[in-house]
Amino acid sequence: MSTALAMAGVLAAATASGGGLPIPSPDPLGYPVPPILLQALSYFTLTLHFLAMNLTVGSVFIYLWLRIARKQYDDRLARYLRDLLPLGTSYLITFGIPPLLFVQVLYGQMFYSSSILLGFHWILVIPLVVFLYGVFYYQKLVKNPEHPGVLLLSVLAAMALLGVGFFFVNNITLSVSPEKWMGLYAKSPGGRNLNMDDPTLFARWLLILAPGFTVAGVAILFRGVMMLKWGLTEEGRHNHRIAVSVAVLGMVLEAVAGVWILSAMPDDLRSHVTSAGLAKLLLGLGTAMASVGLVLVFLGRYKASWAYPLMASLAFFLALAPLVALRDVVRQEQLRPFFSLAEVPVHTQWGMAGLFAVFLVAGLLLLLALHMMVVPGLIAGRRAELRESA
Amino acid sequence: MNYPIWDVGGLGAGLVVAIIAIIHVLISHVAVGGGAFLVVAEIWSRRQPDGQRIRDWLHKFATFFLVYTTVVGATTGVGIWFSIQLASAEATSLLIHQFVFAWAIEWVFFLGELTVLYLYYYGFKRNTPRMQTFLAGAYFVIAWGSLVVINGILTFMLTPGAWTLENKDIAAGFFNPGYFPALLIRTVTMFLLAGLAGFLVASRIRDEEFKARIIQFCVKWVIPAAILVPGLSYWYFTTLPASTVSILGGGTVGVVGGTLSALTRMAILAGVAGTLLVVGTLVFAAYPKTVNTIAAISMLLVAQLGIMGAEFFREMGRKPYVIHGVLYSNGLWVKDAKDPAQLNGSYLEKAKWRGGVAPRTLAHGEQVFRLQCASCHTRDGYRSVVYRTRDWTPEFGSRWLGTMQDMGVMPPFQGDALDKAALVAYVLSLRGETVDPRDLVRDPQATAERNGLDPGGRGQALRGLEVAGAEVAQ
Repeated sequence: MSTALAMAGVLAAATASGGGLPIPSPDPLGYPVPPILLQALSYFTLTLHFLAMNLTVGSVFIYLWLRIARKQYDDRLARYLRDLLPLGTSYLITFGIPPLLFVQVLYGQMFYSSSILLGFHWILVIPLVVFLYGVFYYQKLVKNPEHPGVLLLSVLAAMALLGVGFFFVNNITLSVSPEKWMGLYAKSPGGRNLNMDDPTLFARWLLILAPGFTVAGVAILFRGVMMLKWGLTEEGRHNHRIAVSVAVLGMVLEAVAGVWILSAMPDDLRSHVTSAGLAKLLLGLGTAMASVGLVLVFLGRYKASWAYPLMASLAFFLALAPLVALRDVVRQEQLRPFFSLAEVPVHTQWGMAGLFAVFLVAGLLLLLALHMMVVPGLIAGRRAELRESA
Repeated sequence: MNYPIWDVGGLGAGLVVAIIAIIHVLISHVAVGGGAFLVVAEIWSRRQPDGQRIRDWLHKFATFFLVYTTVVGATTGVGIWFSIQLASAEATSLLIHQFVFAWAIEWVFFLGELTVLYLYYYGFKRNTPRMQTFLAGAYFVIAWGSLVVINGILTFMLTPGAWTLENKDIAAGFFNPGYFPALLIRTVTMFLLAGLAGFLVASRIRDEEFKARIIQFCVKWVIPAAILVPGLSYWYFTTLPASTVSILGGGTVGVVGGTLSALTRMAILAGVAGTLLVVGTLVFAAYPKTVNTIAAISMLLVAQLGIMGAEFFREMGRKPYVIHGVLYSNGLWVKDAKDPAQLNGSYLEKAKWRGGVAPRTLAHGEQVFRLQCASCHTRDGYRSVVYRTRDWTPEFGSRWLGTMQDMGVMPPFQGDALDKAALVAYVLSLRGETVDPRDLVRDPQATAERNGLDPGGRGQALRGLEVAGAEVAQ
């Protein structure tokens, strides 16, 4: 009965005439500050989220590769990456919260609708994250992480991570395609939908995952510097060789994804991105800074200097931030026929915004001070352990 | 109706939220109370002759604490957010737009909480005891700060106080009547839960003498909360809106059926859970060496049962709203419900997500069901409509839909006679009855009179309603 009714709904939706798209009205409370501020906060925190996500994605795949390759020093580098995974996951979740918050303020009516249409897969993100996060801790804490069963769990966790990314890309692409909504809702009101017919879907998925190798490469570069400084020259050089290889791999994959996504875009959107203007500027800036970052990784090879990995980290942050902004510019262009940020009234909450700024600055200063008090001791302890085991 | 309704078969979107929330609430409270537990245990260990041994145990506790609170606690916290968007996008949107910076401040606390916990955990064997105590203290203060913030948003939903859509007074909404009693209840509960988590980790200690000392230490965390929670709960109860108190005392059919009032059910559940916890803790105190993992887990499960009861109690009390007095559970704004033209006009025509279905068909009825009923009810699963309408006749259903809001737990029906007829026909079709919606709208007046009923539906004793034994208000 319900299937028959759902089919009737599909047919009815397909033959409906004259009705507009089911786009919800923006929230009656309006924006709490001018949208440009919310966008800026969103870009900043989303960049941090992407970096943490990339670190986690890159680390898990390099970790699995090292577990299989098992050349000299691979095991110790694998342990380093394995220990990074729970931390990376923690911060990818934590830095994922504010952009999700701000996207709901800015584009809530689009985002909620697409989330409901993908509801089953969207809520599946939660058990998948619990699983992969749990596995990352388990493989760190278990007595025998070399056991094949643990390796299998690690592979499954890596797959789960890819799955989470896939569902996010589905949601983001569907949120700008309201013309598909009614058909999908009629097809599955329980949200067993995916946005598979979006021509940019897989390219965007690759686009967000590919930098994982590059970001993990910078993390390995840091470790290599540490090894070189501690006199573990061979191990440091081994780490730096891997760092450069994976950073280049990430950039090549990112370039492929970039070309793929541009070629898959509708013509008018592509011309918007590639013609003169803000979008082209952001694209150029992102590409230039990513290239600078890669050059810094290469130049930092075999050097016992923190400057290179630090500057490379900054360069990749500055590469990612404009690309995150570009992503929003493209979204606004896609939504232009349906919705514009300027349509929503602003009922300012300057007091609350100021309070948030105070808490943010105070919180970051506190964390910085605590890091300065605690982390040097931790690094010294790690050094002693490594020297002992070497 | 602005948003589509996530139609989750026999489970219902609300139950998905509840399942995630119940898991999260216990762990998130352990996450805060555990911070205080770590501080006191750090200080205590320094005063004991075998302090290192206690700190070794504390390291195990911290490992359990870190993994449990981050993997399950933090993730289910995000999960609640995911699920409320799906179950009630309109309400989530309102909360986000009103409290975005409160949420952002809570995120700062969360970031601090997580980072300080890592510094504490990874520095366990490197930091000085004084630094560890300081980090544990900083962790507790920051974690409690996140509770202070989120509590304002959570309590706002049931007791928004002087906040209105027009004044958008964030201070009035945040420091609402339920804020302080709820904050105190949560604070003492988190100490209790920290003690219970301590039992679990202590139960694994093999040395019985040492285990006994740790268990005795944990006992002290449980008893005060068990004494204070009933009084604080009464205070909280006094802050509830009169309509909520009326609903809670009115007798409600819940998960297990029956006709006990929600208040009675909650009192029984709280009494049973509280008594079991106190008795269990006293037994642990008297025979600390015998505490095993199963017993410790049982205590946590009892606490989980109590939390489940409290969560359902609060959700029950909020009916028929998702934000009290502002927004009904099915996304209907109270301001719109007060406008007869909005409320009684054709629903199908104004529903954005109708999908172009033909009027007066079963598909029409299904759309009305999905968009108006499915946010709380399933067809034949949790809060089953088939069960609740088991005694309906077509005429009775149409009349009942016109008066259901009088019971206090249901929102008003949105739509005209056609929408009602289509919904009734659809609901009856779920139990195999075939009714043509067109037959129900021909002459409702004559049909009602033929059956000796008031066409307005007033004064009829109704079976199968949400509020058992209630009568539609005269």
